[in-house]
Amino acid sequence: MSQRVVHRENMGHLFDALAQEGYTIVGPRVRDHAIVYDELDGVNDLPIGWTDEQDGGHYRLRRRDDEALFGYAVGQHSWKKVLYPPRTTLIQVTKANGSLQFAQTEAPETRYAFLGVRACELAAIAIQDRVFLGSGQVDRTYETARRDVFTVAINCMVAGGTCFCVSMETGPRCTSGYDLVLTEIIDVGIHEFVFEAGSESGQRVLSMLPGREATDADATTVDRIVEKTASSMGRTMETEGIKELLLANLEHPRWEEVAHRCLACTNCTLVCPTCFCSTTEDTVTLDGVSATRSRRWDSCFTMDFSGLHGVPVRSTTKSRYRQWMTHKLATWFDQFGSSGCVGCGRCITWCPVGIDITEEVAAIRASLETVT
Amino acid sequence: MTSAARSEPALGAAEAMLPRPFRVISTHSETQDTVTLELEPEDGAALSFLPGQFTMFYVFGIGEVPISISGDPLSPGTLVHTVRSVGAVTAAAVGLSVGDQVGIRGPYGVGWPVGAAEGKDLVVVAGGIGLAPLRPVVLDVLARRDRFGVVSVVYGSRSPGDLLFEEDLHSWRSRFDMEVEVTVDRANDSWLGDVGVVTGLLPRIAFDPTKTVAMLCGPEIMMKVVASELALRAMSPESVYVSVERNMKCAIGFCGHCQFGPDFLCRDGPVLPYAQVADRLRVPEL
Amino acid sequence: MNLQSLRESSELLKRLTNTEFDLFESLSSEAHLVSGEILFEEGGAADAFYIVVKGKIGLELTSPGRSPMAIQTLGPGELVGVSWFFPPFRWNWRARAFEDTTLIAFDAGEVRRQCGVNRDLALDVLGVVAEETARRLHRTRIQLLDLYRSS
Repeated sequence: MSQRVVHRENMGHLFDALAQEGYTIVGPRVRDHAIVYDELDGVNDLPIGWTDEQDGGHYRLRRRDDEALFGYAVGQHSWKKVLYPPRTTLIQVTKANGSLQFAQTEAPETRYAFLGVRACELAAIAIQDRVFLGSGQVDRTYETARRDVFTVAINCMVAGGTCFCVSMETGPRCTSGYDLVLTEIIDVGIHEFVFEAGSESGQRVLSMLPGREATDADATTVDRIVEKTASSMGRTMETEGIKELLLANLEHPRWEEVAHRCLACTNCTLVCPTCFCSTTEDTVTLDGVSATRSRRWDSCFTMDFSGLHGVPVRSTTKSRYRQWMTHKLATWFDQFGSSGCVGCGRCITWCPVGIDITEEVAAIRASLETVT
Repeated sequence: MTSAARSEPALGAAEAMLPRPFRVISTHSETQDTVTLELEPEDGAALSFLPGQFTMFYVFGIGEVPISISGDPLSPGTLVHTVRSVGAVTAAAVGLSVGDQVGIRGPYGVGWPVGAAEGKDLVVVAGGIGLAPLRPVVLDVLARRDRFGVVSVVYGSRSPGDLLFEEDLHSWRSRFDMEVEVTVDRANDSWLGDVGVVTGLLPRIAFDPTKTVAMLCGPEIMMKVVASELALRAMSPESVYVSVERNMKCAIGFCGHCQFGPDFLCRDGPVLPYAQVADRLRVPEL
Repeated sequence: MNLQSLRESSELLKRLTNTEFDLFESLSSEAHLVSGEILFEEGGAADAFYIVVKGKIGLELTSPGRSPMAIQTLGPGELVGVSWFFPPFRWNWRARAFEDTTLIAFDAGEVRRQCGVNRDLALDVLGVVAEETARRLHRTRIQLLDLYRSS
């Protein structure tokens, strides 16, 4: 697939090309002191010159000393908010003369272009593709949203403070699942973007961007940037035998220990790009004539998530934390053939008390290694 | 779409979540909190099912819950549900009248391995409302009785007033080709039947442990002690099947609520071989 | 009645050595009750213990102003009563036949005396009685959980 180097001044053409192709562009912008994903109209909507400072329970935006367009890691949003919206109306019910009529809603056909998808996020989308499309039943809402998405991926130039995509083997280099991938090169006197097409649609858009041919030197620069990012990960996780490790230690005292800190606030599940649990909600109009069934994001951390005849099966925070972590890192393998974690670090950053999934795994491992 | 200013929900395409209207054609009060409903599809298309499967039962404006099908698999034209009032939806369900309409999705789930029991002895052990998902097994087996060996039904209930399907129990007991043992946890002043837990009845039934399939349904504690008792009778846990229950919202493997270890009970269960779940049943709050 | 035929279905008889079994046989006699007949009363002296051959014995607790409540029934092969082995050797429950019932009755007093002089016999009988008591306790605890009630 061909490559092209586009100068910073010409990046507006990317927006024009995508708009011309009929896409609504969704990408990063600064809002409420964070970098969120939302509709973008042009280059100037991007978080130009911003970076993020992340650690356990800590997220701050900081000004960079340059005007990089993509010089940050990931914020609290992930692409699941587009592909799998937080609240979705599913069914309308009308009651007339004692009869019930059920009608399904139709998902609108919107063509989205995702701009700024990190390697970890490509992996997360692929994981949710397996959940919603590849496990027997197909979720039509997800399928409709997913169908025509144009993905512009990014090779990260900065590793986030809580990132560990290297440990999870999901990045930082984007290898597949994109239409275009770009790497931002910014230095004294240089500000350009090495684009590579990953599909025919990507090729078509690429041909609409003014630029020069990429050289071997450009490729080397990209390698260097990726290598630098890879070597500055904020966290690591030893993944060898992790499924067996966790499933053999369901009564480990560490679960009790983390439960003392965990608030069961559900932030981690909200920001996790692969978490997919939902619930159904029913609303009725006051006249009792029509009702709606909708789907809403849910979290295994809530008390009534596991409610059986009104009584939760997992009533302790310990059992709920254990459920989340063993699902994410262990039983996900049985269900979907891979880990559920892509190493994006969001759960660490957005946990109000800074619980760190990599630290929890390390603690269980360490405690078992000392006992021999 | 994603603007924070916009808070209205997205629209989804959801045919798998679309219920079919069914009308109540009869109601029968089994106990003071349990009702058996017979329903017919408004569109006339019979809901064929396998014993052990369930539907998602929707009551207008209140919600949807999983309910086991308790009817005869050979008469799918009538959908039978035995519902116990334990929450908002089921309370509404037991209050339904003939002519009321509900929404039904399904059938869902992996059912009982009736086929695997052909040519073998069959032991059915039910506790409380657990007899409801096992009733279709018994009806299915009796319709082709000659294909099975010794057939035993063991049923424990809270009290004589809580016995389900009394007519069926009497008719099954009057047969010469099956063994039926019924016990209650607490008697009343006229009960002359057995009193005590179901495990106490197991020594009474004869089966060849090397050639038997056991199907258990009831509270988890009950299923565990019965499975242990069967193990003492030399039954392999591979031949013992249990029906595990958890919260369900979608029944199609997406909402995540029904996970029990790696299994989505709506899709990989609810019937599972005891060998596969014995360890999990021992972990509190799994 | 041939006690040997009961040996297979009775935990107690199964565990006795042949010599011990012969002793028990010499202390046994057959008893018949019609449905509703009382086997022993609450508080009565436990001079005999029984194994059900056929039928059903219900253990009941009576209290003033209330109908008798059965808390357990015993069927073929099962031992009726364990209190005969422990002081004060009195029945805690009333036992009544819920159906026409045949039982084998054993002279509890003589068995106790024999156990007093024969340690091996005492150990074997105690083993069975203790196990049976544990089994009943386990089952009763489960009954207490009231598993089938609405939450």
